[in-house]
Amino acid sequence: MKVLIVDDNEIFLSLLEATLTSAGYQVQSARDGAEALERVRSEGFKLVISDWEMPQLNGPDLCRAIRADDPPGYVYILLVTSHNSSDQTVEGLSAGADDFVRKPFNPAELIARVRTGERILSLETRDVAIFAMAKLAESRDPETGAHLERVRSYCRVLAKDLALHSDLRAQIDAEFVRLIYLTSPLHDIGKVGIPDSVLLKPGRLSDREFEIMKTHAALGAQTLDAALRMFPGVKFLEMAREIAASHHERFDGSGYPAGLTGSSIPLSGRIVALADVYDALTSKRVYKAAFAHEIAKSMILKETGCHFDPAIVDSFVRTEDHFLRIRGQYTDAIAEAA
Amino acid sequence: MNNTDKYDVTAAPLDTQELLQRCMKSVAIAGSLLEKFETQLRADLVTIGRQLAAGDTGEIARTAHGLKGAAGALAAAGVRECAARIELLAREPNLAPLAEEFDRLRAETERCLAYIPKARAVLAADTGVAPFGKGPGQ
Repeated sequence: MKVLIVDDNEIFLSLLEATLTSAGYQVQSARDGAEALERVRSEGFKLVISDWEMPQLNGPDLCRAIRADDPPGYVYILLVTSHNSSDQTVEGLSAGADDFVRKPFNPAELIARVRTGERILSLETRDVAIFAMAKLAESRDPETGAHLERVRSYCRVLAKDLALHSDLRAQIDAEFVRLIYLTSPLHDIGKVGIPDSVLLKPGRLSDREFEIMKTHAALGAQTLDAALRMFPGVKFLEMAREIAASHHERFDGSGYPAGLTGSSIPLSGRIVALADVYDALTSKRVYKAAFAHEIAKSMILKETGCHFDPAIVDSFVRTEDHFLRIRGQYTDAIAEAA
Repeated sequence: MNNTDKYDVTAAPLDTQELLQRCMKSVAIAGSLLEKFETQLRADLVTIGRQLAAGDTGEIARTAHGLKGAAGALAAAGVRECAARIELLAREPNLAPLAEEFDRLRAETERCLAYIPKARAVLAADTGVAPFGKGPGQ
């Protein structure tokens, strides 16, 4: 595994490199935080070991910059420090560090901590598998393109904003944000149970066909229920089930499958509802052209309190620049929007 | 402040066994680090002296912090203690104690530099492998 070590001190770089190389890691080094940030961006390092004290961009600043970049995969950051106070530990963790090694370090301890980082990173394999499963389910529908990538990004933007600016903040922590990004792509997993004649039908569905299509929410929930019976209490399965079951509920109770109203609809489902509809509106379908952002926005605003939770519509309005950026990042059928 | 409070000035200025442990018992790595430390010690002493003359306490603290870390890694307790105190004193408004501590750092640095060839010999004798770098007689 590739590891980036960052220190402005030649001796520490040499010691870190020797220790890690002896444990089988491929080590590359950067001499300050700015160089490290550039190399994380361009070379995709997943494991970074950085000194705390460095000129210009110090260790905590480097952590903050990497987290703000929000790279596609997780970057595990270990800070090496001679600081020993709990205040500084809090500062480092708050900045986004995952673990610490005290200077002067014991080689065995350093390697053990790096191995821990590797174990954490290996959990991403699970995340990739979840997304691959969602893509597989989605692959039956040739029209969807990067729908899942956009929806999960929209969900994360909304969740982060709601955590800061709404009365829903008490329900949203960093784990919620991570989980909704991870599990929202599974919202339509139940479509695997919808016949081709309905799922792939060009043009509008008849009433009967639409009733069949609507069963995908319950089908998805049942599928994930089966997984939950085998692995009870697994958080990502719980949220995935919640989303699959509730992303077609409407705030005023006119949705399906259960006709839930208001806050009885799980928050994750209310967030995915808006993200999913926005993406459907701004994407081309066989039966419609892609709407421009402003048109989609006005349609969503009209549904405030009807289809959508007003707090989530407010969040959408606050974050519409992010929506536009994400839309620009993942272009496929939406390119035809006026 | 008495710099003898925290470490024994009669003890070896550099703990070769501790250094060897940190280098995973590799004499080659220890020798390479000693060489780099020797260079850094000389350079940092000159740098701190210049920064002290200029009254640039922020830079003194930064240089001393780096030296403290390097000395810690090399198990050079005396230099590490002096550098740590200089880092702290550089944050005080009165420069006089800082100048006194710098004198101690100079003395400890000289002691450490004088010991490095012996440290190489100790490493070679303990392990039967000559560390690379400038050893005694080289």
